[in-house]
Formats: sequence, C-alpha cells, structure tokens
Amino acid sequence: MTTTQNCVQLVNEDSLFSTCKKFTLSSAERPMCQILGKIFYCGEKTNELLQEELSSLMFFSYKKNMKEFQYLSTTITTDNGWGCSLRTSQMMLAQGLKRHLYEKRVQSFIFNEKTKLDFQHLIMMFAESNSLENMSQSPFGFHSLLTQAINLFQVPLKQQYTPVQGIKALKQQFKQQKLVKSLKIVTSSTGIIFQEDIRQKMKNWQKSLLLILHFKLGTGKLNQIYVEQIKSLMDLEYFVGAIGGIKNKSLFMVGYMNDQFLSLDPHIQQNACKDPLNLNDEEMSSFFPKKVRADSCIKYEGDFTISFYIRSEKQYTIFLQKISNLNKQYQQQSSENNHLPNEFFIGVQDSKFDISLKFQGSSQEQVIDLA
Amino acid sequence: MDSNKRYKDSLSEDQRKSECENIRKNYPDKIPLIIEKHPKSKLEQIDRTKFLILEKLRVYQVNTIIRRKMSLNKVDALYLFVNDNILLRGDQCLKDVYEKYKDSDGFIYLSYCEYSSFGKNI
Repeated sequence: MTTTQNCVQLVNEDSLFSTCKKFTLSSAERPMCQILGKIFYCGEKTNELLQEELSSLMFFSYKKNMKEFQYLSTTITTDNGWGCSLRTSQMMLAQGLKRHLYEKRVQSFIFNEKTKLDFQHLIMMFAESNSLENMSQSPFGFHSLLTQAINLFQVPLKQQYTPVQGIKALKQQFKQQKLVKSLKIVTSSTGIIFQEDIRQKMKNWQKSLLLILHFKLGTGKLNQIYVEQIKSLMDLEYFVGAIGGIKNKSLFMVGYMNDQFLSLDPHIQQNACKDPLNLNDEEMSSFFPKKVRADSCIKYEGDFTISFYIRSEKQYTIFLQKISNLNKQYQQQSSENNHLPNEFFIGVQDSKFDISLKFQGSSQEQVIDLA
Repeated sequence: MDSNKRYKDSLSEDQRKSECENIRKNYPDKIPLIIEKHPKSKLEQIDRTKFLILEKLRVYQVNTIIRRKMSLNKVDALYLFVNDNILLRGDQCLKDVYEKYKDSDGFIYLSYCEYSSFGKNI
C-alpha cells in the first residue's frame, strides 16, 4: 500500500522500545522538522529525541478480527478500506487527550517503562471492545465510534465517512463518556474563531479546550498558496495534529519537514486486541506507529482539518494573539503579492454575524435572484 | 440550459459583459455573482446561478443563502471558492472579495463544494 520510499521506518516490528536510526535529519537538506508544535533541529542528540517523540505518538490503523458489533446487525470484523477517516479522527482526539492528561509539566510524554501504565490507560479508551461494560471504558474505541456514527448519520455500513463526520461522532461520544471531564471539544467549519461563541461554551474556563477546525483549501488538490499558512499553524505550540488526505486516503498529519508533510497512515491492517482491559505487549505495540510518512505538499488534497489544544484562558489569549499576528503578517505579504488570497484562512471575530439576514429593509433588497 | 454547462461557457464574453453592465447600472450597490456547483461536488444543483447581492454582506451570509436553497444536513460543511480554487473566509466582505477577484466580464465566479470523504466504497 505505502511505498517504502515515502516512509521512514521508526521502530523494529518486534520490539516496542527499540528505536532505529533511519529517521535522521541531515544538516544539508533537512535542517529542521516540526512535530506537533515542537521543533527538532539537526544534531545527533536531536535524532534520538525525534525518534522517541515519533514512536510515542498515538496510532490507530485498520484492524482485522474485531469482535462482533453487538448493536449492529452485521458480521463485519474489519474496517479495512472504509474506516480510515474514523481512524484519523481517533488519532486527533487521542493526541489531544494525551497532551491534556499527561503533558502538563513535561514537554513530551515519551513511552517507557515508567509511563507504560499511563499509556495503557489512554489506549484503553480507544481500544476495540464490544461488551457494554467495556464500551464505557472504551468510549472512543472503534465499536463505540461506529455505532455512534451510524446512529448520527444513518449511512450504511462500510460507507466511507468524512473526517467532519468522524470528529462529530467522537465529539458526541466525548459528551456521553465519564472518564475525562476536564476537557471541552469545540468544532467549527467556518474558518473563523468567534470569541463570543468560545466564551459561552467555555464559561469560566474550568475546562481546557480542544479546538477543531475544518477547511477545504482547494476544490481538488491542496492549493499550494496555503502551504505556508498551514506550516505557520503547525509551528504553534498548541497544534495537536491535522487530518489531510492523499487521493482517497485519510492521513493524520503530525508536522512537516521542509516541503513535506509528515503523517501517520492508518492504511495497514493489524490484529484487533482481544481484551482492552488486559493488553499484552504485542497488542500495545499496535497502537504506536512503526512508520511515519513523508509526502510532498503537492500530493495532498484540499480537505484539511486542524486541531489545537488550549489548556487555560491565559493560553487562549496568547493563542488568539498569535493567530491575529499571523493574520497581520499575512496581510502584509498578500498586499505585496497579488497572487496570494486576501486573508489568512483562520480569522478571529468577536461575535457571530447576523446570519438570519434580517437587516433593515426587505430581504428583496439584500438578495436578488436573477433567473 | 444543460445543467453541466457552466455559465461562462454558455455565453460569449461580450454578451456577459453587456449583461453585467446593465445590471451594474441598475443596482450599483449590489454585486453580480455567478454561483455554481463545483464539477467535483456531489451536492445538489441550486435552481439558479445568477445572484445580485448587497455589497456589504459577508461571505458567511452568502453561504447561508445557498444552504437554504438545498437540503443539506446541518453537520455537512459547505465551502465557497472563488475561481474554483481559493477558499473564501466567512468574515470577508463581498465588496472586498469582488474588488480582488472580479472577472474581466464584471461578474465574480463562485463555486460551492462539500468536504470530501476518504476511503473506498466497498
């Protein structure tokens, strides 16, 4: 499925802890790369850190031999070929939760013997499980997620989903679960952060915010004028992953290296775990990436979803400030270059516009349809 | 008119130009837009393509106008593009967009498209 040329081998298949040195930054062509808001510059020590960082990312792929879906009358046991958007949506939430729960003081949360239990806890929430009691332990597992998605969107089984639907289903699952209460998910597809909307939803900021924004940056392929904008958003420390796609494959984008986006590819089939409460090492390792894809920006499609994790009101203020600065910088650039669009693709506004179109005068005066 | 044929291909530039000039004369505070379904979109075709919209309105509101013309699930996002490839941000004012992107015939060409799904249908 994936060409080895584009892939960087990360971990030896047989051992969870071993790292392999193939993913290296050489000073000449690859001076730096950016992974989930953290910069890695070229250097021997960096490569080790980078290796650790990448192999501690949360990863969900197609699974086979899944247990029966109790609430759906079906005999399917695999999501091979149609579940990739749901898988990348899972990765997005998992990365957000990982930062929310475990990256409070330390910059990175690396998988090792000490953190193994915490990782197990996190993985359990996303593990495949079909029994009712386990489903409340694994609210974001594939069984729970698919049941929710079918319930919400009434699409037939094996139907492909959009990441917008995947995120919506996860958001619904998140509302109903009882494991993590200190986080709020806010999604938007308007490209604008409405401050009033956020204020209302966050109330007194007793919770942290996972902000997920959906865009379409080109009707077919990704319009290359947006690449620099995407990179500048990936540079923000709040960035917790994006969903993009190549052809009809949904990929979880974790950062970039020069003009390549780095992503985790769910299009490999692994065995489903048997009991989420009792994972063995091999099952655990199926939740970590073995490869990171590096593909040229040109190959990506225009559909693009990006997420930011914002811990507190203070961070939110800084985040808005940074977005506004990006907007200002961009406007300067675009005024000098007529080929660039007017605006940065994320904007900040204080309150929602009156979308009801109730202005003074009749609606006839606002809009005239010419047959 | 053939539903797949786009407005620009259905009339000559001179015809389009004179049509637009007429409209602009009668409605100087409104923007003449051509809004069509993008060829790749699986959404339904709206019942007309020519619109005259008050220049102070925002892109967000144009989006609402189009959504009302079709039965679209609330979850599904609808995106508006100018010249088929540049995304219009919701808070942009129509007047500004028009200034930058109007075609040589005087109309501004928008297309609408939804977020695509990934994966193959089995």
